Amino acid sequence: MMSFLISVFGFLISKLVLSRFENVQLVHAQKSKIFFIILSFPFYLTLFFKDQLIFFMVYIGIFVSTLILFFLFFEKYAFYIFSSRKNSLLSALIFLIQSGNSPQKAIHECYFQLTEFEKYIFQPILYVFDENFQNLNPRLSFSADFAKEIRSILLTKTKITDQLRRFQSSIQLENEFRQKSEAIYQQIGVQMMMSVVIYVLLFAISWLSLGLKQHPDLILVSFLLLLAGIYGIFNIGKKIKWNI
Amino acid sequence: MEPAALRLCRDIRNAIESQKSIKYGLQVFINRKLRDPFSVNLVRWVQLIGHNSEINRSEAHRLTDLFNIYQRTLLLVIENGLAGHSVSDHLMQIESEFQAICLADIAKHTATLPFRLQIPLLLFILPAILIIIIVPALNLMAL
Repeated sequence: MMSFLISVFGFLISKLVLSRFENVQLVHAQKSKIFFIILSFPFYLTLFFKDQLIFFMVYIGIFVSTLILFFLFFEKYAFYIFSSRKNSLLSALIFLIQSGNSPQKAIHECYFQLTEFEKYIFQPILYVFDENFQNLNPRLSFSADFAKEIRSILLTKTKITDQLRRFQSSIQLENEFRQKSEAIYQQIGVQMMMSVVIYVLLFAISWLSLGLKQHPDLILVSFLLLLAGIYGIFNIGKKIKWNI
Repeated sequence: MEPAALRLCRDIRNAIESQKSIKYGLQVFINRKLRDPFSVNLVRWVQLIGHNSEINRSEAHRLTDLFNIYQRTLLLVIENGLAGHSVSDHLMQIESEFQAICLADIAKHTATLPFRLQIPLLLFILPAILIIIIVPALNLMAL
């Protein structure tokens, strides 16, 4: 009975995870079916290996943690893709308008050259000429703001490319800041990871050989310092102080 | 992310290029509802400039002390534009100046960032590592 319940729960959670990925276009509907067959196969085995349920529980745990991580990091990942793609999207839009296409056609051309996931992110730009644009319920606020900006430019109908270029230069400024900061954060991130690995190793040595277990207050202080350090690294320098 | 003063400059240039007034550009900027000190003070400044009384003018003049030299230059150009003078060339120059200042700010920020990021490593993570190894070791030596 237990193995049956675990397998049913496994089927449900794997379906749920795949449907989440499918909804945001990270996995194509056709591929999702194939993945479901592959990923849910181990749950059939619960009926034959009833004494090895712990392995199936761990397997289900992977799905549950994927689901939690999905909710935690999806928007950040979408923003990362959005930030790295919007400049080239705008370049394509300017190029198409300059070469004689109407803004409507240019928007459609730009949109349909995106991947499925990028289409999910940039979907609001499809509706920039829609009268009900303000009433649309956007999935991602940053993408809606981007579309709103493009809409306000395209609706002016004069010197569109100049205005788009001006908008693009503000995006390039953002990219410049992001790219330069990211390179530094990657270097420091490696240093931080090494420090954490050294911390864990020394903690284990101290626990086993130097009697660290007799000093719970020391462990607490050390752990809090470590957390403060990690928090500091993630938060220092995220914002820039402009002189203007 | 973009500094508000540069944003304002672009909104006004966009308004002028799309055959609209400077007032419209200011309104577009105000509708963005930015929360930084420049934008908040600018909203107040626009309200004071809008009312054509002498008291409001002098108060608006006093308010400009809250802005830095770059922002004040931009406000001066906007004020001239509102008075009916042609300011599109000035705005173009200011925009490119602002852009250059922003790039310099980014360069300065990224030059100092590696040093600033070492601070948590040195002040927190290193002591965290040292504490767990040195204190128990000293205790053992004392025994």
